[in-house]
Amino acid sequence: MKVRDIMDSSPDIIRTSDTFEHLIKILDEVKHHVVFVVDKEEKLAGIVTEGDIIKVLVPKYVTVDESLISIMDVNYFERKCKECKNLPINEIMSKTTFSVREEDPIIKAAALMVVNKIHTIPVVKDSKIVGIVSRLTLIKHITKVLAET
Amino acid sequence: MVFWIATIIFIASYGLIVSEKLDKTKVALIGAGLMMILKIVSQHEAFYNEKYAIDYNVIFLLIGMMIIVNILSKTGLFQFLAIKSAKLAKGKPFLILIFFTCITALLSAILDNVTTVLLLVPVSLFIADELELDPFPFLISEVMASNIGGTATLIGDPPNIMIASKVQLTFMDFIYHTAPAVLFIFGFFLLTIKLLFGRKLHVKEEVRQKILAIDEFTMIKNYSLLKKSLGVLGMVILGFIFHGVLHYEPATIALLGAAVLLIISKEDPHHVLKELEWPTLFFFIGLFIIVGGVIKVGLISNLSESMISLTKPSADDMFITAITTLWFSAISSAIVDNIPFVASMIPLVIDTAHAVLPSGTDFKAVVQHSTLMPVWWSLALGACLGGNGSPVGASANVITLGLAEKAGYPISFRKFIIYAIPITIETIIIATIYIWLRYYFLH
Repeated sequence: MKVRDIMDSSPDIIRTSDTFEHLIKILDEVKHHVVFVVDKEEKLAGIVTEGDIIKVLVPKYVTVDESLISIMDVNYFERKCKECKNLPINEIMSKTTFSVREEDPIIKAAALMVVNKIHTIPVVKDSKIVGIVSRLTLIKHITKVLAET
Repeated sequence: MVFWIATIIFIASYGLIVSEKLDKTKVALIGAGLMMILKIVSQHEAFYNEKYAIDYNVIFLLIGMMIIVNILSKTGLFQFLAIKSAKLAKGKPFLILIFFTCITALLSAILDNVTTVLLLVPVSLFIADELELDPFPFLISEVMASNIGGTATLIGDPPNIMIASKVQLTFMDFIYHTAPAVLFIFGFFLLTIKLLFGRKLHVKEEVRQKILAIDEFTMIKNYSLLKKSLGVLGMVILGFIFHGVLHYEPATIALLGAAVLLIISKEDPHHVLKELEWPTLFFFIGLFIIVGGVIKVGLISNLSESMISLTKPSADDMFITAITTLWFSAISSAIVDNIPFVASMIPLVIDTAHAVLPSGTDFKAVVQHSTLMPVWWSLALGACLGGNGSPVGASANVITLGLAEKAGYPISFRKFIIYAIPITIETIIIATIYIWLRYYFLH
């Protein structure tokens, strides 16, 4: 079977020009814990995961010196949330390194997930996102396959 | 023929180091390997000859200090000092900037510059973040203070270690000669910081209160290790102060201190030794062999003849040579790594001394001739202070800019040099006045 047979054709999408605040607002309705980012020409530009959202609120210097975590201000997190309100999505997102095409076999999506330790893969046609395959999509497909036997 | 092969290896190695196309340690080792395989210097000469061999005093002094600093850095002392000073400054940003700059200079004078900035830069980023300020004034001031502070002592910066080892200078020689210059330079540097950033650094009272609320003692990770490390460091510094009188090389003191600290701290030597800067140490080893090769074939003698015809030193007066060395070292060290530069300048100055000064059998009497000494101090001041001139001029600059970028505050090459070049020129002008006043005008 091909990717097109199992993919979810309505991925959650946000634009590079949207803000952090808008992203947080739409998170409630997100199905796969990720939002894909598209540019002005509707081409896939990146991905925002829950990890990316938290990462933007934590100062990077604590990765260099972890001991500083213990003396951070108690209201730091709230202050950063407010500071990031209007932050554009292109400063939060990660670049998407992997994608599959509709005509690719399902095993390609599964293998890319395992090898690269990722949970979701965008399905791309002419650089535009047309669908999404997640681990959940694959599990549902496994259930279907076993039911057939 | 041998002369040209050695010269080509030397120029190609230095060219590759400057271009940064290949890792500098790899370049130094392949250059050294070629010098030996082509028998320009034999392995015996490269390892044991007094004139051409690796300077083990430099290597082991660096190893000893690296071990001590590695263990000390695990105690949280650097972070404690930074937070404590920020609280003493009552959270006032400009005062914090001045305190941080002074702490960086002081720690860089007794420990290596890279470790100092590696530990203080993240705390500075934290303080700037808490104060909701741009961290740039802190970063640029600290990196420059680190290079200025390192100039003050024998152990502060590798060029001083190299000069001291070859010229048989003591820790106290540097305290008497380069430290006063650094005090003047640092005073002017602080005034410059005030002019540049004094008006920009203001925060509201409630923001300052956040700094006062920090408990600095949470930064100390291990009190027992801190006491042991400071005890050993204190003894080692005492050893450095008296090494000339006691007739011990600084490397002996540093190695013994490192061994004692390894034993009493109960740290796993595998872990500590694994974290040493082995690429830097092998870079030194390779460079010493390359320079040994060009000394042997006579390239350094030729260059020293050019230096003599250009600066016309005499047995009574080397003022022009000293000032030329100071500025040439500063400009070169801003463009290239100051370690390979100083490695080749030392034999060049020694050759010049042999050609100009009354020759005797006593090596020490020639290289420590009173007419020549201002040239050595000029080389030390120029090479160390010149490192401030560009982002690649010193290892501390590279590390700080790397940390700033990693932390999300990238500093562009252009922004760095806009501040760095005028400040470096200012420090070299003060160094020139110091050399002239102390060794010529008031002499």
